[in-house]
Amino acid sequence: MMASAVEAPENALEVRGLSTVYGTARGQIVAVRDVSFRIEPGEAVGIVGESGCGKTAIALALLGLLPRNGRIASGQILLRGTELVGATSKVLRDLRGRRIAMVFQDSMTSLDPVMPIGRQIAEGIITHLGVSKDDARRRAIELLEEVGVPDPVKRLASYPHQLSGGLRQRVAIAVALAADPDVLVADEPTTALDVTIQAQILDLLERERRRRGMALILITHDLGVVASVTDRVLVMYAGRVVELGTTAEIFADPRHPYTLGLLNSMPRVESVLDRELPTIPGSPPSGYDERQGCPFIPRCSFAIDTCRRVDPPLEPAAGGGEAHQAACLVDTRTRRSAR
Amino acid sequence: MSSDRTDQTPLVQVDDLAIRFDVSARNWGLRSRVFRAVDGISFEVAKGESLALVGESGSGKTTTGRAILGLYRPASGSVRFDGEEVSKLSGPALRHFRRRAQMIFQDPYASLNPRMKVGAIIAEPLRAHGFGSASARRERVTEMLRLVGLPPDAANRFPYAFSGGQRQRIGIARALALSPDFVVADEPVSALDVSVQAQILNLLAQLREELSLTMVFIAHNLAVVRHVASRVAVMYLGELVEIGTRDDVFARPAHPYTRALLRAVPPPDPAAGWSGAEVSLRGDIPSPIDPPPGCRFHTRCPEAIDICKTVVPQVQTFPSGRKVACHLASPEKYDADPTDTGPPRRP
Repeated sequence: MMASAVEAPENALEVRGLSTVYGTARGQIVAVRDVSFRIEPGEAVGIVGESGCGKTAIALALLGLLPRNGRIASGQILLRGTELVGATSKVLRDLRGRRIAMVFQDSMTSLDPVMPIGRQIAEGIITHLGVSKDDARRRAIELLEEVGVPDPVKRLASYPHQLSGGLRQRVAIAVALAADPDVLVADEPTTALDVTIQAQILDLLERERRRRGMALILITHDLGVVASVTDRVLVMYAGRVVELGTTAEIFADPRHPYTLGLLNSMPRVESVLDRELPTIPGSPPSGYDERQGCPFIPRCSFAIDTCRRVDPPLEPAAGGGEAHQAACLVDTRTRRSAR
Repeated sequence: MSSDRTDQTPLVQVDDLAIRFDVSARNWGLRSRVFRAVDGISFEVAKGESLALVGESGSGKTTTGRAILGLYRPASGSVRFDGEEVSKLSGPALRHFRRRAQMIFQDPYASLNPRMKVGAIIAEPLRAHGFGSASARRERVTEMLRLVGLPPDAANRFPYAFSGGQRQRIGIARALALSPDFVVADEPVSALDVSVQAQILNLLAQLREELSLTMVFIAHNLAVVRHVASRVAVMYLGELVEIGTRDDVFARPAHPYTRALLRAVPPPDPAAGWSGAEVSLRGDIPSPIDPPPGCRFHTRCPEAIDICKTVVPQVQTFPSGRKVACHLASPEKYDADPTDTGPPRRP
């Protein structure tokens, strides 16, 4: 074990002031801007936002998997106290899988299409735990059973394309859990699945988190998923965290106009609303349009003059819970300046 | 409901429709296999009505929608549009049908030609059907852009210049350019960002009202369906398991699959205490090539009894008009109390 693990034993993961940038033909995009959060062992944190908000860029940065044109511009990522930013690829390779692992949206591309699934699971076990092939095979069978793949012994020889989407995602989860990581990052793990299969996968992630005391970072655009399986939530917009708090607070007392708008515009199964749905006008920004002031202004119905000049930092929400923060100059309850 | 201006004549009549695809790999010496995408379904869509087809992937909802538009030839059964059998239409009658029945696609990125300007995209159906002169078409394009909330100069730009929501508006403008009476919308918001979905749902509702459109709305998201449909048809493995008014189906789901679908959607409310474990639907949807005997849902049904494994459930019609294919469903259990006028509505 790393000696530095004693530095911050209470956090499974801590991110401080993380910014990532991507170089593109049209110039540089700041995908993630000064994001900080921490997650305790066994805790489930949701990162919610729309396409282009930076939620996947965070996940990739955490695992040292940013694409060639992307890089971490500043900030720290502490995995049980071990700094990942600037770590050599050898160190990252060792930590990835063993201490932090990831489940992707599309299991068809995240699994190797030409390797039997048994070997894909065993590979991680052998690499990280240094056990024999036979032990790894036994462990792979146990894992498949654990994640609810029927007939695990027979399935070891299956290729990903022979499985349904739901089973494939179970296998991808087994691969991620193979070396018993402290932190699991799941990026839209159920978005490509049917609702009844989504419910099964969410249940599986929840059970594994509790059983292993593993921290879970769940990245999703679906507020229903966030509400149902996370303890705390980060709401992201234009690369920034615009609101942060316990899941209960964020849903009962949203303070950022974007969070408020998202919650209001969501059609609900249980509602009897026959009128128009409330909407957020416009679309999420592309990442290229840099503007002065708050990035949400073009879509905001609460904006005051100051919002055009100041990009508001995250600050405690007035009258909110201890850890409830919002990046807004306006108190959405009174429509008056909050600061 | 004020938005339900329906009358008695059905615009679309689907009668015992079956669509099959031959997926046998003959050259490989394998036995012949038939994919039963839609297997004997019947329903009607009244004029002015909006019917939602819901179900998981593989349920046959998209195939049904396309079959109504005449894009697939029925293996048996029929689709009638305004009394005429769609698969028998030819010549001018077929052209006329195609003017009247249009489609809105799921993916606003794949369904617009990236090399055509928006004006040309919207004008294409007009050109294909010989609508007016070039200037009349240009005028119509401007009118359509206004209708869907885009500026007139959008006509001169290419699709890449637009966001997903704006592209879906362009797709809607194209579908409505010929003033159809009937539109099949196949998952029109599922590729869009959450904050943009509500805009498109509202636009569709408004256009349906303004243009007296009859609509079949294909969706997997029941929350979305709640906002657009007056009636809901639930499909499973090529069959219709339940069909009824939106309020009946949502408030008193009579088929165990409908109940499972409703429960499977995690509500945006942490206090609701939703848990994936309680959805209780095990396993995957079976293969339509070799569907289970008896009730097709019995392999996943939490309530299945012995009879479900062997006997195909007949479609029952409740006094309310709702139809359900389940051995365990009965109007006493699931139909509305006639004295109950339902939950109070907002004015």
